[in-house]
Amino acid sequence: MTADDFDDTPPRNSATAAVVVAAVATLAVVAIRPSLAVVAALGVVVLAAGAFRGNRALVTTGAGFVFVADLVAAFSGLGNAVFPALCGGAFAVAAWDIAEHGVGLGEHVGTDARTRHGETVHAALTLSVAVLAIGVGYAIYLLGVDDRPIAAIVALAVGALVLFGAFSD
Amino acid sequence: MNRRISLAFGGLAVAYGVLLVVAPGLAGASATTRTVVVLIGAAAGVLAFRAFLTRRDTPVEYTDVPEVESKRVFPLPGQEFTDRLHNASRSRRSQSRMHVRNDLERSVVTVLTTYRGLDEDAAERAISDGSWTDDPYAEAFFTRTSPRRPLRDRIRDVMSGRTAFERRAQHVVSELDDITEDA
Amino acid sequence: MIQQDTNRWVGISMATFLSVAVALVFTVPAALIIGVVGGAYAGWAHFDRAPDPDLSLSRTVSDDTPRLDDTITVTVTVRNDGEFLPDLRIVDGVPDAVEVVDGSPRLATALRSGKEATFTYEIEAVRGDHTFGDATVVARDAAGSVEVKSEVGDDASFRCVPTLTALPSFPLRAQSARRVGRLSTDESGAGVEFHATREYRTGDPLSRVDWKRFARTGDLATVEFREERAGTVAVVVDTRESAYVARPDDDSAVEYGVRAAGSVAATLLDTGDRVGLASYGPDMTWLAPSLGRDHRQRFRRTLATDDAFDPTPPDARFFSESTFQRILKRLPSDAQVVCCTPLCDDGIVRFLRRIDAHGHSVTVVSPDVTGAASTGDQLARARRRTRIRGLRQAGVRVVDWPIDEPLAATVARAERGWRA
Repeated sequence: MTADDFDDTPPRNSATAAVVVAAVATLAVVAIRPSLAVVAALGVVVLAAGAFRGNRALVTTGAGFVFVADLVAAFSGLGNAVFPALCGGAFAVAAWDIAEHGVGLGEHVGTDARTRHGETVHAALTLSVAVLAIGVGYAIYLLGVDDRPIAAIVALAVGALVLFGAFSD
Repeated sequence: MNRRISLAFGGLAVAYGVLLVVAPGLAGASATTRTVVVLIGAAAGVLAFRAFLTRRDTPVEYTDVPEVESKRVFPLPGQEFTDRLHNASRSRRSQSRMHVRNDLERSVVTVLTTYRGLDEDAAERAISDGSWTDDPYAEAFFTRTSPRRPLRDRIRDVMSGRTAFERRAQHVVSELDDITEDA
Repeated sequence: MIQQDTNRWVGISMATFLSVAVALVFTVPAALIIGVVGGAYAGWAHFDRAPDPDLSLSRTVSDDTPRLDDTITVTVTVRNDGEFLPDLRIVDGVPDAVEVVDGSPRLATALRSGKEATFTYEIEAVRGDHTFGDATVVARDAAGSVEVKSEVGDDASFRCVPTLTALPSFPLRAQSARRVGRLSTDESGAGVEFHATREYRTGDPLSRVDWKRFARTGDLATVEFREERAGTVAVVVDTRESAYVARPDDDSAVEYGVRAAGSVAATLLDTGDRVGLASYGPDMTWLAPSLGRDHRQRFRRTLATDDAFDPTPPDARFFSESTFQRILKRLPSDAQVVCCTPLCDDGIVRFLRRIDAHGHSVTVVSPDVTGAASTGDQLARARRRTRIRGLRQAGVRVVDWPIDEPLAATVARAERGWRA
């Protein structure tokens, strides 16, 4: 055996799961606006390449494409767009999380190690966060953002921005 | 401190927003024009871009773990010479090349005295007049002349990134290998 | 324990800021709601606590006294003695000189409090004493924003003492003084010079037993001849840092030297010669030439496990002059030397020539680890051949051992050459 024994390819489970979740996000996007299928699908392909090969940049870029496609889909207005748009966005981020987690696992324990339990627990947790986000988002929508005053929206937006800035630093 | 202010401001703004959402009647008092909204949106865009830059400049830092699967690997014999030759060939200073030349000269002398029965003086003379070998590159390494290089060799050198010094040194070593093998 | 931020979630705010920007600039309220997604994940990343791992580890080794090249199965069990750990990565402390041949010494898992995880892998037994190091453990919070590194281990170890396999024969040099037994003597027809008998000791060669006495009295006694040793040999192994060279992906020349030393010693001990052991390197070790079963065991064990013959190179400084003096002082005056060395530098040649000049005949067994894998390698090969020729010209016997060939075959060939 040679000195470069260690194979740091990500475990296939995570890569596959990430692609599946990203595909679900794409379906949500396409449900709103079929014309965005190409962009979103491209994102899935790029994410898959990164997830299976262990390339973080590709993973982030791929997930980013899906997320942006989802945002653009949101332009279709409220009504039946909100729920799919939320799903698309949440699952795009979840797909990124699962894929990047897999890349990190490859670097730490390699492709020969047993990882299934660890991957399953992590995937379950991140999908829970996604579902929670979808739930909270939809609840806010149900409160009726539609016909609320602009001021409300702006205040919410500003508040969220500032809170965000506070958290991120 | 900054963070507390931000948190407080953000919290208040969100609270105000929620309040307005829940009780829209209060909104009439504060009129916000479209321009302000767009400006805030643009500010958000700038913040998004800043976040992108931060992401680009901050690499993911995962803990290093040891490489445990393999046995220790040992160097090839003569690794030190290989490295010295590589560095000397590319160094601007000629001193390192001189050291390599001296080392190889000593090796050639030893081989000639051991295998061809020459004494040291005769060996040194054979080196300086090039009679110790038929190989033009090996000869040129010590005589400092420039042999004519056929095009094929030139191309090969360029492709492999070898310098002239390296090529000649390698020919000297090859010659020594051949001389010592025959015995 | 070392804690560090992974910076994994840096930039998640991009998602939220972008959502809000799109929502406000283009008046797309739905986009604003999507901003919740980024917020949720950022909150998760931020609010999760760093883990505090409290683990214990135990290993079972399928065979802690394996034979050379046997496969050993290592089973590692890790127990979580503390709080729930959602993301755990474990890298076992495989001993340095050992390589993993099957399975993986690593695991990624999640462990509830009190739960255990087990994984197995296989390693190949290598000469010497080997102790497992601590396993490295990396624990993460659920979101993966913080990592805590710690170590946990136990004292698992194994010891591999290879058996010494004798060669069909190993020819010794003629000594100037008279000898009995296998060595050629200068005078023809010289008989055995009887000296004394002593009580038989376990391990004495049966050829030395005084059978006449046994037939007469029933007592077992061993005959001692004047200068009784048929041959006194010190096997010297070159263990300096410069000897730790190897062909690509192969064992070091020191490893081959140790194997050769063991074979030569076994051959000579079997024929009643006294054999001693010395290391020529920063770590000095010395076994005085002797014979008998106990001595053979001690020889075997020292060769396998003494620090002087460690599979990894020494980092202590080597003092050639004092080492030479120490070896010379301990060498019995009638001893000859068999030196196992790759002959990859001139220092060993100087040492051998000096030993020879002091009246100790030298035979060199040299594993050839040179080749043409690099320019330096090829030069080393040429230089080595030159050294061998120079040594032979000076009357030193050299067994040039191409390591692809069994040593027995090389020695047999050399023997034919010396007899001719």
